[in-house]
Amino acid sequence: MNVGLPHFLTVGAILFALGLFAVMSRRNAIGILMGVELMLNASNINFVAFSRYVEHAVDGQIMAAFVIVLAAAEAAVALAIVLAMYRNFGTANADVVQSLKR
Amino acid sequence: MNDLAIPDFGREIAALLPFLIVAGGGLLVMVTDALVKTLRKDHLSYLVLLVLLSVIVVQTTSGTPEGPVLNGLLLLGNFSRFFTYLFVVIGVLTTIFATGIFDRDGNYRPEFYPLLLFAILGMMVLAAANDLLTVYLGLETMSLATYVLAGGVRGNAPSSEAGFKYLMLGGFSSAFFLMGVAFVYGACGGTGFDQIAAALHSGSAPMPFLTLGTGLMLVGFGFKVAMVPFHMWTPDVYDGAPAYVTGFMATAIKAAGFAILLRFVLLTEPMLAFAWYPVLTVLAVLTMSLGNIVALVQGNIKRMLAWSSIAHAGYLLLGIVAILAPALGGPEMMARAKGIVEEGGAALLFYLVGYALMNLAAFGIINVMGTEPGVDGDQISRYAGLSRRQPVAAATLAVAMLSLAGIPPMVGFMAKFYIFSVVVKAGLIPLAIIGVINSLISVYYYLRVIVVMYMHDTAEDSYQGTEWVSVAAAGLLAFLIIYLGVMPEAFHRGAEIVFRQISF
Amino acid sequence: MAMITDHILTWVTFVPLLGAVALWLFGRREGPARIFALAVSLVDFVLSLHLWFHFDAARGDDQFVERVAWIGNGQVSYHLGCDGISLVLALLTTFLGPLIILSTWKAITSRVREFLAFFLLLQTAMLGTFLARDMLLFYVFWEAMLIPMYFIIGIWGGQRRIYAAVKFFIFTMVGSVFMLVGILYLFFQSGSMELTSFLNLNLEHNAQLWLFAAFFLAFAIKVPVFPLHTWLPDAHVEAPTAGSVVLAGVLLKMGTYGMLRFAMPLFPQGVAYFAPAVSILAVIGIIYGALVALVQPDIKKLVAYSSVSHLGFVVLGLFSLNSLGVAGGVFQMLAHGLSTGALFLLVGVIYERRHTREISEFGGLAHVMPLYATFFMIATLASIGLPGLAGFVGEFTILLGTFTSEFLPAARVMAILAATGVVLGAFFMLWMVQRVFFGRLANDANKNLPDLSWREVVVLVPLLVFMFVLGVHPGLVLDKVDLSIQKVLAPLEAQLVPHSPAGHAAIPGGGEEGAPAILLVNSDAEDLR
Repeated sequence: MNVGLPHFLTVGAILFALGLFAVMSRRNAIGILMGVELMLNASNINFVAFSRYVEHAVDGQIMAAFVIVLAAAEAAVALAIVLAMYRNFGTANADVVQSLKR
Repeated sequence: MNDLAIPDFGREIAALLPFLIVAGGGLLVMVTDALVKTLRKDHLSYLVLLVLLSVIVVQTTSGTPEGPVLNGLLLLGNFSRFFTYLFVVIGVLTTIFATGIFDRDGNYRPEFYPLLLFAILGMMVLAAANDLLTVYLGLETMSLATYVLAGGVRGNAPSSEAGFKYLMLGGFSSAFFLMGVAFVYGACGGTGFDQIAAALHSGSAPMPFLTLGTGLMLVGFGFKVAMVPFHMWTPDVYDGAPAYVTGFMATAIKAAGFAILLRFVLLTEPMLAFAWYPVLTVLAVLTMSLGNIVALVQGNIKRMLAWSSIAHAGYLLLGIVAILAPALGGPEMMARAKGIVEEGGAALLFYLVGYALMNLAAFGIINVMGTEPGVDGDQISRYAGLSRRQPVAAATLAVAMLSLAGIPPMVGFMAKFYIFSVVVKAGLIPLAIIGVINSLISVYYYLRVIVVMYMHDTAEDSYQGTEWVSVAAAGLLAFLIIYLGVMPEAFHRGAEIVFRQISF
Repeated sequence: MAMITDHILTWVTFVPLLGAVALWLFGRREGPARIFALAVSLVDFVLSLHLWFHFDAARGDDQFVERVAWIGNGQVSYHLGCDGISLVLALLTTFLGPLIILSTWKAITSRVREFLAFFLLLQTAMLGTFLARDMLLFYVFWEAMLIPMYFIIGIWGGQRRIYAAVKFFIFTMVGSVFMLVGILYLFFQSGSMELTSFLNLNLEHNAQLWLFAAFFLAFAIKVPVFPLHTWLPDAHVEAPTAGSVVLAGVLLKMGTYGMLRFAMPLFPQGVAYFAPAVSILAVIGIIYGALVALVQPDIKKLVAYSSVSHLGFVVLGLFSLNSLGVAGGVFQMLAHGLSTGALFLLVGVIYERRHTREISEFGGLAHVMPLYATFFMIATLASIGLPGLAGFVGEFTILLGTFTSEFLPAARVMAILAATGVVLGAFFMLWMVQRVFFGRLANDANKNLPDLSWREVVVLVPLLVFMFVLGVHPGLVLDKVDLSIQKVLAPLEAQLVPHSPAGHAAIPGGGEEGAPAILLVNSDAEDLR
């Protein structure tokens, strides 16, 4: 089988969809975070694939590197906030934390 | 990014000086707080103000170089400068409001100051971005800082809930945005705005990728500017975050979001108009209408202002729709388009400034009304009789409300006037009518605040809190609201000049 | 002095605003604040007299013009001007100002300084509305007027004041936002906000209809034209006396003024299309207002509904589309301002003493308050149009204009129906007077009521004097407005086709070959003087 751009994009799309599904369906804050990470990585695959097949340059790879770094930073901040939330509410379940509705 | 030339060091540093000051200032504040134990906490705020003022001074006096810097990653010019001023001024006011309440309650958040500076840095990068990579960097810098600003009040449950929700939806939207960037990159073969523009003009970019990519990016921007149906985080986050942060988010983040949205729209105008114009039109209408209708039933002023900020995003989107409209109308329409694009852009900039003034004035008052530490003055009913107890605060809030409702002679009216006249000029009279009906609906809930403050008698649980520096600063904003409402011209013309430089 | 006379309109308009700002200096001292506000309004009145004496009635155009670029490259300007119509309305405003402030001496006791500030702001907004010659400037004043009035009703009003205030605000906004879209459309067409540039547009038929509808709605709500009047009784009943007086005396006229100044000349085809419907609504309003007033148990509400009826006359006069009717309409605006203003003041007088306005609470007041009864009687007679008093001239001219109108279908029927409104009006007003002032002094609470104080006399006498003056010498006003009316209506002339085929012999040049001759020559109007 000749692996080309469409294959990578398909993998990216599937990953993105899985991440989306995780964000939508998970109740646990950490689960949601993982879904977001999955979505970010889906775009990383796309970046690298486009970089390889369309442009033959490193732009996309640089972009991917930035995304990885920022995703790590985001995860750090996110965990800190989830921790704060856990302290205040005693749970990390997004459905339970609903004190602000009216 | 393809032709990596070695840039002139001196020029680059001079150009980046404002960015470096803010970044360095943020680090300095952080380190100072950690190392200098003898420092009184409120002295940090002076340091922040010093940093922000030096940005203004440097930018005003040094004639920073214009044009692309860092190999085209950033584009400096009037547009980026305009927004830097706006962000810095919002930052100054936010610092004043925050410090006022810290002082009053004796409850300091030292992490607040550096984070504020980092958020401003992100916004400045965003407004100057000339490459999708820098857009992403700016967006994330701004967002990461704001997540903590909103959610970092220790021991405050609503705040951490707000921070969490903002974080989740923010991360979610970044993912969409990034996916969009990937597709646009794939279609155009580069992330630089120049490359994208070139690819679009040559028509070589494959349409499906572009449509998908720009659509996904619009979703990402939609979250940031609170466009329906990506608005659901707004009420909870505005409500849960402390009022000084809410004020900052409502004004600076909205401005930054629209700054980059405007750049993006102008960049991809022909293609975007073709693919997304109808969707944007419908979403603009939905955004205004939903925002205003839901705001009608809110008893919490922060939630009300959250929904109202959604509604105002709708008016701003109306301006964007008007900018896009000529691209659809064929050559004859395009002939007039240049004027519309410029006027529309100027109208948007004016609106953002006016909106910042009135929201900051409102949140400045809300911030200090609460009587117990950590609780804002957010219940509308508890404002009863405020005009008797604190005439200046009440008058300020009343002016802000009337301005938000778009009643002359406040700046809110002029802002709407500019936007709607562009909409009418673009031939979109039905949209203008929907817009004015919306501003009519909004009058009702803005007036309710005034009714409570001026026409109800003080009750037992009425708010008593105050803090004179914040009230004075908000009062000054109220004065500016009226001043700009009566004398909008100089400012509007400035906005036009600012805009001309970035219209492609 | 030259500094003032060169910019007289600006001074007239903004002196009250300056006064309102200066009121902050008075702190909690209410007495001096009252005197200061009174002085400001008197100064403003004196300044406006300059307009009256230096106005050249032989020219119908705008005078004392001031024009400074405001927004854009002169697309929008700060442009004030004063023709005859604006002149009389501005003078009415400045004339009522000191009287109203004087009338609040005892009635407004809480937050006095704020009240005075809002009232002075209101003065500025109203004067600006009458004098603005730039559409956006007009709109700004028009809307800005809402804010102080909203506060005046909402803070110093009666039981349901908040409801009334919000209703007033929202109703007025409903109309004006559509007008704003209309203005923006015209702005886009002409590239300027100047009223004159709008006049030169050749709008297509359909656009004229839409625009007329948008503008008319805004003004009709303000007037108010039946069936848009429902905010008026609420606002009047809940407003403090001073608010009612300014509402009836000036604010309502802004609606009819807007029709005459903007809606009619700008969209002649719209006028032609809608005039029959509008005049039917006006006639309904006349009769409806009178009938509803008939059954009101509350004096103030009764007077409020009489306003609906009287303003119906004004609208009917304007849309009779001949100079007679229009002149009558303008005159009636003035007459109504005086007589209804006086009536509201008088109702306020009795309310201050008894804290009720129920007609059934009174009876035989003439025995204990003879002076008050006399004043009330005169105002009533002026209001119902007794010859010799101001109301008569207005109503009669309007009826005459309507009767001879060539552009209204069944003009004579309408005139006759409107005339029954006059009869009804006389009936309900006199009946009310009879129940309140004559008969036995049954209610003990009324036995010791003091008659008018010197202050109240000072407030009322100028109004009564002018009712007589205008009643016997209407030319005083008509001379000033005649040419201006003709000039304002000139754009209509070319567009209208007479409705009745044969034309009237009494009208020179009318009706022949469909030649449009909407304006009656002066001779008709002169007969009246």
